[in-house]
Amino acid sequence: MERAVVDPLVEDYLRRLDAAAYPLGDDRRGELMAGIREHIDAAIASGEVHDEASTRVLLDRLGDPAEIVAAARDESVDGPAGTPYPGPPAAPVSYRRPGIGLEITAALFLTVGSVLFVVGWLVGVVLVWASRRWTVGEKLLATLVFPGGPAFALFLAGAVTGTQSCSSSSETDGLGGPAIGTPVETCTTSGLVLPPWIGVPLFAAWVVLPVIVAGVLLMRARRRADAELPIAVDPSTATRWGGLEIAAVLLLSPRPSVPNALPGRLFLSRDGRRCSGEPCNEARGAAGKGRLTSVNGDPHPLGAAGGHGRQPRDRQEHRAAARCGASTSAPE
Amino acid sequence: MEPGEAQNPLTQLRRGVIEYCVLALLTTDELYGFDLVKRLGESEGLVTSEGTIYPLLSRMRRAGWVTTTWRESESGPPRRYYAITRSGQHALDGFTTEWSRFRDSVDGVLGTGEGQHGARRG
Repeated sequence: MERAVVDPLVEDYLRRLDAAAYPLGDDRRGELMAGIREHIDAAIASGEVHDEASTRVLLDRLGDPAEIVAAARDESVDGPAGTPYPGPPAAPVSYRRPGIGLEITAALFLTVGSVLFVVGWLVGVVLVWASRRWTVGEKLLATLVFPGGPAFALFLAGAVTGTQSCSSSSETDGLGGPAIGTPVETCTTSGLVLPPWIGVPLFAAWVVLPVIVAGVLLMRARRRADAELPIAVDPSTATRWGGLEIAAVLLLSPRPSVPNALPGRLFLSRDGRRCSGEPCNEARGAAGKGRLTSVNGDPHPLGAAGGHGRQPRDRQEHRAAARCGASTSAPE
Repeated sequence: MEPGEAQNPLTQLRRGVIEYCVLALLTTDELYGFDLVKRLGESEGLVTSEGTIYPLLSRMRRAGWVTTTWRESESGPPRRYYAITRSGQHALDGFTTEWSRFRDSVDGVLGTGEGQHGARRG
């Protein structure tokens, strides 16, 4: 067969069809193109298309691209929601379905990867916008639900819990307070910024929704990838390094510097600073008073980012705050 | 299309019945696109633009009338095979009954084929 003669005609036809099919949207266009390509490949493989004349006959019989697209649009009017698009076989011998390593990596960074505070989530955002399998709307959704990712919310939620144990203990332990010479202000502030009835659902949503969004977007990416043509695999290259593998290494590798960068630490340190010395006793005695000061003090937990310069003390102080919460909850 | 300006009165009719012809072909065999189009082409006048079968198959898949599986081919990329589903079979059965009545009615009015196709409401 004369591919040199056949291919240009076929490519020209497919190009015109692809252009005409643009209004169908990515899913439908991909499926249509894959079907027509398969048809042409099968005709060539059957031997009945081998020169210019037979190629023209084949393409004529397929029909005018505009007519094919019109048929597709016609059907889209009453087409039912339908079933998910099934992909090629799980383990093809010499072809594989197009991978969605990039999309999986993006989803991982946006959710699990957000424990690498800011950096991990930002990497996820960049990867999301690099993908060509998501619409702009979906990319916006992934970016805005929610900034920072679930890990960010988990640390904020941890701070809220800490506040609740500290402040409630102040009511029962209030008598022990005066024994302490210097009143210490507070343990944390966030519980006052967001009362539990609004804070807890918000944090829960902040943790859960990004995971749901990531899951939905991944399924869509998978479906769109399946509508693309299978990718030929060279059997000699058994192992393949894709986005998924790279993400796994990044996420599993040791990261000693991370704890200092976690938002929860910064956040707690700002308040925990005041729990210096023998933090537990002092904090317990003064926790009730701390609630008041904190209202005026630091109205927004995100303001704690200003605590960057105090990092060297953070860890110890955070531990103190944690101990404070743990021990004071016991009397109740 | 206005009745007076119909170039080919069968165009609309063809559009309405072709998917049932596809279903009928799939009751005996699972077929891939090219094969399916060839079989349809063996019946004269059923298909004009072969390419329009692919949007049709796509629609039938979304409607749950057919399922697709990928299979290796001895030459070239894997091929998507179509198989009829239970719901597709129901649709075909319903259409077959309706079509028999419709065909007989038209034949009766046109005054042709009454004897060829057997009793009405068969």
